[in-house]
Amino acid sequence: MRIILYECKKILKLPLLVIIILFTLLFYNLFMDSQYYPNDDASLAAGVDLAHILMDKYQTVLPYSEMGILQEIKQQQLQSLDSLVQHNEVLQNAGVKDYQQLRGMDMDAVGKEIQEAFWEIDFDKGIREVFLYQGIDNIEEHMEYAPFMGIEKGREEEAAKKICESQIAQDGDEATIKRVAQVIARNEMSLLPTGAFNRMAEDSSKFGVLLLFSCLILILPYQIRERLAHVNPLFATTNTGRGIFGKRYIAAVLSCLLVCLLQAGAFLSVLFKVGILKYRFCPASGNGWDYLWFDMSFGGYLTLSISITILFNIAIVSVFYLISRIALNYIVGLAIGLPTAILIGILYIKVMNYFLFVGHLRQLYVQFGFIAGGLLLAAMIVVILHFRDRKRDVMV
Amino acid sequence: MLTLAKVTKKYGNHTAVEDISINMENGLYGMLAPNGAGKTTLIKMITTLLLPTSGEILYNGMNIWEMGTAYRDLVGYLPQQFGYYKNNTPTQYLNYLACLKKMPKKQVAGRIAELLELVGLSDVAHKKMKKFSGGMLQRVGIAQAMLNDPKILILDEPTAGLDPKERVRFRNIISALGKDRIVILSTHIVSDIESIANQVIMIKNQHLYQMDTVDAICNMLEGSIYELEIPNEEFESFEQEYQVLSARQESGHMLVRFYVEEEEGIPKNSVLCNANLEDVFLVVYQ
Ligand SMILES: Nc1ncnc2c1ncn2[C@@H]1O[C@H](COP(=O)(O)OP(=O)(O)OP(=O)(O)O)[C@@H](O)[C@H]1O
Ligand SMILES: [Mg+2]
Repeated sequence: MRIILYECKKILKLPLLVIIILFTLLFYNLFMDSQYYPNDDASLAAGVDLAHILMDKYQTVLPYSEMGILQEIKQQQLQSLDSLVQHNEVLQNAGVKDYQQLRGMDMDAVGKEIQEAFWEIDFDKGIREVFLYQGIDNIEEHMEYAPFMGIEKGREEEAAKKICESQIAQDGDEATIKRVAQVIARNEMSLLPTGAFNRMAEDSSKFGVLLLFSCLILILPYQIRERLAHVNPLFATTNTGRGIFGKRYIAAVLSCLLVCLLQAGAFLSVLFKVGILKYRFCPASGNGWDYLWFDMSFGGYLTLSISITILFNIAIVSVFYLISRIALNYIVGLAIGLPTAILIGILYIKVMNYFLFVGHLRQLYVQFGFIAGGLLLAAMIVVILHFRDRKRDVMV
Repeated sequence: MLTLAKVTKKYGNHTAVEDISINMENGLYGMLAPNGAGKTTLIKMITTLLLPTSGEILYNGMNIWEMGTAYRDLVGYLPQQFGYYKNNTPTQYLNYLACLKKMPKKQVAGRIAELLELVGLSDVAHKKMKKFSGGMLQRVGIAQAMLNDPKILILDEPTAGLDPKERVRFRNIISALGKDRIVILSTHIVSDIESIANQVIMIKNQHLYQMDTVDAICNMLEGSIYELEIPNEEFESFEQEYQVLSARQESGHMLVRFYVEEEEGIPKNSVLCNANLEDVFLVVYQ
């Protein structure tokens, strides 16, 4: 244990940690979108506002029987907007009675004053109301287009097929349709806004790549430095013996785990800061847009997705470990390590993007196969190196 | 007792050492052989870094591979290429090695201070090793090998790169260590071991050539080493006829030391000399 701690100290060098922090900042700025949520998309903002009003009352889901609330909220917004119109002198003088009428006017045909009054309401004083109003319109439109609530018993599959065609996959397979039908049968709407979910789902596969490179930056220099110091023959003759190799591996895994957990903490704080974590108790499937293969809460999905990402990365540490054991020096190590990391990273994004989302059953198998393959590879490397080290000449 | 029983090591097709059998008790063993003779190979097998291709190595009758940790606990090793962390101080590095050697925590600090004193590094105990000279590093190497008070101390060319003064210092440290343990010291420099080795091990053509005391080994050449004064201009022809071991310019002529196998061919006026280890080395590895 003492040795492993020593090794961890050698791995977690301050300059490397600084490099990782800088890399992380760069990575977030270049690739991670969650941090901009929801302000970079006005229609998203409306959904968010609505979700918060509904969550105050219904916590996580809106049952079909309560759908009337949407109309109520919409009317409330309309009333506030009407009162804004009625308190506006310009509009009053022009004979505009309510918001509907204002909206219906051809803004190119009216005078400048009316235009300005309209903008004042739409983009300033009444912006929140307008967004909410439109948000509900969106939901209603969406429900007309792909109704997923209020379906008669026994007709869920039919509806599911429509949804699959219109928004999931043109040729969603049978398993996909079955799963969507299952969610439809719940007859309720998850209050998780689709924008929040999609940001997180996309970012969490990129998060995997971030972890991958963080581990690479941490492990490769350490392992290669150890080799270049030519200390292995000496260490292998001590009480610890060839066990030093295994201990170094364990230390590498522990250090990477620490960095992965810190990264996960940072990712979660970003999600928390922008408000995405608010929906953690909402069901992940069934806001009308997003369907997962399995029932779980959004928080559960987040936990699972981050855990699997970390697990996979820890597995990949053994690949880096192997590379650094066979590489002759830094140059060779990086020459093999970097492309390997990039390749695994690309594969990871390709395969793990929208982890567990319905579409094709095949895709689910590919995702599971990918993770299982990574773990298996890691286990193989560890076992092979362990037995190889036990009875083998120590050359360098 | 450390026993090598018919030990052979092959690197692929290349045989480095073959069929070597040696018994070692407490004392200082000087392994004397030229470059590439297989000294390091032999030492790496004794330190469990290499597995013998055939044959076995026993400590008190037990196979050292089967003893594993119990054996390695008895070993102190200074590799030919002593690896260290440039940014460590000797104290830090020795602490780390004490940890690898699983020494009881309480003893470590005292032992390190004691050893640094022994090798004369006390005043640089907290200086980074990247500023050390070759001699200082070698002394850290000795200290590290002695940390666990080993019963078997193995030094692979410990004097390489040391100046004569350091070399003498070194010899003094080592000769004191051989009293109650097995010390194996490899070198191709005769003077390193001539005065301190209890036994000299010579390897030639991958085989054990000779293992005996310095005197006994020198006696092999008794009556074959001569010295003669010759004019400078005759040196070339002399060299073609006899195996010259050394030649020294003296006022107007040369003093050559040479080896003759049979008594007949000895030139007139040659003076018979006592053979020393250097003569043996030059004759054996001619
Ligand atoms: N890893 C290896 N692979 C192949 N051949 C090797 C290896 N190590 C050593 N040899 C060969 O084995 C022979 C013995 O080498 P070794 O290093 O044991 O000699 P040495 O007596 O220690 O030499 P030196 O005085 O130069 O240190 C040499 O011919 C060398 O080329
Ligand atoms: Mg050698």
